[in-house]
Amino acid sequence: MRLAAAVCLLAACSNDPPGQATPDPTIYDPYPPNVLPPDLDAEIQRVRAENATIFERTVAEWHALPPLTPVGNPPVFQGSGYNSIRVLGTLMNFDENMSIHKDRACSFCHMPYAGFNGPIPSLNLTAVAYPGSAQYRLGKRIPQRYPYATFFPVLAYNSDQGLFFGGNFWDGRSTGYILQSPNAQQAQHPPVDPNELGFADTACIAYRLSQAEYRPLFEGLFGPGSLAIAWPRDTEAICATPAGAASFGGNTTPIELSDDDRTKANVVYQHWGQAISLYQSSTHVNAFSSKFDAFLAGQYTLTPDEQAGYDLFRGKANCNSCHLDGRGSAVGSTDTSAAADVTPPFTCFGYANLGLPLNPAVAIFYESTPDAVGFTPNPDGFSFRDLGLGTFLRSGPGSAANPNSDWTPFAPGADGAMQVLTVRNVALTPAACPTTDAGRVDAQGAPVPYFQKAFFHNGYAKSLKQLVHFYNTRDLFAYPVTSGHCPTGTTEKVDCWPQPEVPNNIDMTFGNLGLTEREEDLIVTFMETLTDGFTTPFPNADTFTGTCATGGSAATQGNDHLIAAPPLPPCAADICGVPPLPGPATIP
Amino acid sequence: MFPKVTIAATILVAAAGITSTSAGLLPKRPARPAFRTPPALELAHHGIAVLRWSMDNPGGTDVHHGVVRFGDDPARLTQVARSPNRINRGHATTTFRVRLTGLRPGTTYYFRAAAVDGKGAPDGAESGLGTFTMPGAGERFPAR
Repeated sequence: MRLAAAVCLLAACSNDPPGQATPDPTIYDPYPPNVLPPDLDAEIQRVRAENATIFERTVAEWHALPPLTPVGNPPVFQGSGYNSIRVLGTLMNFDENMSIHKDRACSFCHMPYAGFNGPIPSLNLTAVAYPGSAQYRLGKRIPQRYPYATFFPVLAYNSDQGLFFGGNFWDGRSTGYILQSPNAQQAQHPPVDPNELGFADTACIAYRLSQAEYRPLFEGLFGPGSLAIAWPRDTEAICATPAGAASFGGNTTPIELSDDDRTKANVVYQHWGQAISLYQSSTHVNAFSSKFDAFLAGQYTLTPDEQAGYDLFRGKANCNSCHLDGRGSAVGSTDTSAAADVTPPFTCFGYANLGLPLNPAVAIFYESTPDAVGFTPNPDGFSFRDLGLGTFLRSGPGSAANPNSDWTPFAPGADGAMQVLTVRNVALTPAACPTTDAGRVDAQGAPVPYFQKAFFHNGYAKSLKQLVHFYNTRDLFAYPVTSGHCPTGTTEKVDCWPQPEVPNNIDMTFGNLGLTEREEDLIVTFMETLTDGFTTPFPNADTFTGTCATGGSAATQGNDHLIAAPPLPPCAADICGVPPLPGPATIP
Repeated sequence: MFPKVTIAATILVAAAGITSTSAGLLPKRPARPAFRTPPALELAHHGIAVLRWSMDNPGGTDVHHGVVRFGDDPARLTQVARSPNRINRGHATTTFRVRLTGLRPGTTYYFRAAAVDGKGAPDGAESGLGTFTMPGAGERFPAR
């Protein structure tokens, strides 16, 4: 039973640690047992404390910055401008005041020690999405990693390729069309996502920044009057009320500002995105400090297993057809090519439908009833289907409005497609738990502690072994069942893969790669060479205070937390009934 | 019982034209990529079949589509399956795999396979007529 430990839904009452409280009727908890882990409240407080450590470190860094001195025209803060904006972006990113109840920072779902993935192992094992400031509203996908996301270009449809490239988010909804940076624009979504930081009005960011201790830094960079806005008396109350509340009546600008002040707040919101993006593009996030980077620089020799895994990655397994490695490829022969790119992104910046099963543990399926303020996160319940880029192109539920109607006709060809992430840092874990995969032993035969992560957009895979095994055997071990219903005698994720959530556009580049168990393991070994922090420590990755796990097997990791899917109702009309309709197959 | 898998007609084979990526040259799109391994049944079960073949790397767009026209009457290949496959610019050949759905157990199907680029332009010749028989209800090919 979860108590009113972290927040109240209606009031800004949650900035204190949890007490021994009675159940709070304003807490939104529509979940059956096992969707939210029993240690969730304690883990939330752990991450908040870790987050505070990084915030305080950054405050100290701010105080040590040299003065801002504009030089030339257009003026540049010579010498100090870059780091000043990076520090500002870091402060914003780790500032809990940037949420309705002042208890969630952006970083709550993206901690450095997890490669900027979700930092709560038990949640990665279950609901996979993270609780926002309005407790317990959760999202529909795993938190996407920050590193190297800034390299994605503005979303565009390449008519020569017949493909979309760029954007941010799994579904590409942060196109970057206004700021010309998908990453900067990405940072503008969580503050007003009802299931995340939860503000009803984007101006709440300017309001909270006007109260921030680092306001002088913001004003030093963007002008002494940049936060001088005449706030109405009810601003605090509005900014403490969750987005989607019935009292707003659908109004997305409930703070009544003059035209000039609204414009000023909008500009502040642009700076918010840009400063956070600068932080995320800095070496504090995009470190290029992995073993593989050292290898490309001629400063490290891959071990025989790492090299064998790399050969499989770009050869038999064909991983580098999407996860570009900057080198040539070879099948059945030795690749003697030189690296064409010493900072390969390990992504093609594109999208693909991997044919993943629907994961019935994802919290969003259960959020079909209204919370205490009258907001229903997912009215479709189990009729929700995650069509990814296809839903965005149709401006569908859970995504954002598509700003380019020329793209809409391409939706059927994009159904089920999710962004191809970089492989870099997929294996990054806290130093105390040096692997993502269960069942490892060290040279002395002692078990290696692991940090539980979740992989793919819906967190269906719980280990990198499972991830590679899925690519290897998706079609070989396919069954027409939903998760939790594999036939007797088979084991889900081992020799049974449930049917795809979206049966159209399934990428057939993989699915029966013919890799042996050993070859799968070697690919995982290679993926671990892409973890930053080898040549220089990864910034702020030292803050983990939680517990590692031991025991079990990477092949079946997390299977004891599988939730059996209920009989699935048809795909909802507001998702699959919106022209241009999905096809050729009907999405079940 | 294993399904019968044969390729009934001659596969059209064009000039070799294997794309080379040596010396850092961009992969050249072959004028007419040839089949290297003829289309054949890779696996089948529960009304789904995957046909697989390889051909010279067609180059051009990143994603090509394997396209299979099929039906249970060799004179009426009225159904079409189409699956995206990603080329690897460093590979001399590209494997195409196409997912066919809605198939009946124990039924013999006929097909012709081809590939198109991301804009729908044909990559080369269509295969000859092939055939396969779906396994019986509850059976899998290959058997487990």
